[in-house]
Amino acid sequence: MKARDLDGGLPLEQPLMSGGGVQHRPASHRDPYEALDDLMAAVEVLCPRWPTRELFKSSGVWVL
Amino acid sequence: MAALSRLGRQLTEVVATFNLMGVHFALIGGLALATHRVVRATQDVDLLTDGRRADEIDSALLKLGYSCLHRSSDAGNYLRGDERLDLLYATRTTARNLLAGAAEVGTAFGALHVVSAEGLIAFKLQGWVNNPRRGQDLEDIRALVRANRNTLNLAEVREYFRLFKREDLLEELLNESPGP
Repeated sequence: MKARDLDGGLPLEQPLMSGGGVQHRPASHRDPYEALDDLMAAVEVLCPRWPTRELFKSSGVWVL
Repeated sequence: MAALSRLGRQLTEVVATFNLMGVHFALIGGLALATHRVVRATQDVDLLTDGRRADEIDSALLKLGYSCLHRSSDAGNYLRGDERLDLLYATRTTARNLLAGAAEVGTAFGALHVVSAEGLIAFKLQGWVNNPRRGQDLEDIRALVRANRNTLNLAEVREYFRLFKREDLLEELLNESPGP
């Protein structure tokens, strides 16, 4: 389920929350980067080590 | 506002360095999603930047303590401790246009340029085509389409999917999120 904008707009996507079945949306006037900073501060405490991310491949498709 | 998260502090430092150098750059990747109504946790800083300045950028990042893990004419991966910084170099027309057209957005981390939702979808698609195991890219495209369905320039998005010969995938995604 998706949280919906208070003004009836499209859902604000929050995969981390919605994946757990939790409905929540920050106040619509809030800077999303402030919300992201808050989220990451919490995530960094809970998940101090991330899985290793792969490197780019030179042989890939680069058309953009 | 001082960043609370390590990711925010990392971004703030890189932005200050690039601004001092006069390097044009724009947010892509997970950080750019926030501008386009998708907020999710992200591990690293992803930037689209001017490919002609790649050597200068490399020197500046080494001075900041990053190591270069990979670098080609298209992209670079840098690491400092467990802080990742991934760069795409705008060298071709499409990427250069997306960089030039990136809107300036006022954020908690200061004024930043952010690639359009259509451009972000294109870069996510390129990432997914190059590494289909990275399911997060596909999930981000799905979330971007769903959250911006009424405002996306679908002609532009269709052109990106055509470039990667994934027109069928776009139709699937659009069918999941029917418009008004």
